[in-house]
Amino acid sequence: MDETALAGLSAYLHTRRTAHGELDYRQSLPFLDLPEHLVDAGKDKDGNQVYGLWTRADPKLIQGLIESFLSINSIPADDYELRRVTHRGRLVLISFFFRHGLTIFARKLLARWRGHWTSVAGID
Amino acid sequence: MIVIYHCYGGTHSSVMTAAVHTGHLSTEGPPSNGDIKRLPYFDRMDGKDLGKLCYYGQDEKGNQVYIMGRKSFSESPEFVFRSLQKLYNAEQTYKLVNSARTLNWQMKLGGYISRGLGYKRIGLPIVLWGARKAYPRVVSLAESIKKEV
Repeated sequence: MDETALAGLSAYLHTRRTAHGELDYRQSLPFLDLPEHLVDAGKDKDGNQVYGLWTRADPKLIQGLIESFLSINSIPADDYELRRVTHRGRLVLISFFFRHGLTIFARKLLARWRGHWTSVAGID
Repeated sequence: MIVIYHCYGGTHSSVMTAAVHTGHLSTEGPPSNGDIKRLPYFDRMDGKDLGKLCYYGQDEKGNQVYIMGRKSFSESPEFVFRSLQKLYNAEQTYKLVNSARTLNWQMKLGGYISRGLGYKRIGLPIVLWGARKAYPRVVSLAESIKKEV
């Protein structure tokens, strides 16, 4: 989860649905252009179902809302794990562009700095 | 059904509206300052529990009423809940209500001074002044939601 589409990208990378380095981030993954969305990234190697959820809000609020929804629907805490995308290094600038709707620039930087941000996506 | 009133801090307009909805406050005329101050959660939340639901009570039809703080992101609760509802195919139905529309400038200013700056002795009387003035709007919102659910 995140306030930007990096949540979807992180989920895809986690399940290897998108192998790092194989994609042209300037065009692929249409969901990267959406300001808020929930994507199903499929299952990871351990069989866990992985989703990416993002909306323009304080990440603490997103986490609180998810936990609230799951609790009022009596979904046990053991059934899920929430992970926030961490914005460090070059991801700070990429997420800034995503947050302000400048997805063209965010995509360009994702492609250009390909080797510099995979390990900081908070998922792997 | 679950009814969730949400506002900036989850401590003024949502508390008042939830209190009217659940019968903690009468719909006949504005309550006294003491009645408002004694309401659970009134002027007590400080925004640390963003998005967390606080149970407020039940209405006559058995609907559960909650309150929640969400800063200025008034659209996000609806989006997150709707997405997860679809994902889990959840049976529990809910209604999210933005109670911030009942706020007046006195409640905004007093709320900022009391909760934002931490000067409760200055901010709270201003909030209470505003809350009593805004009461007809609060009652009107709570009553319209009660009719809907």
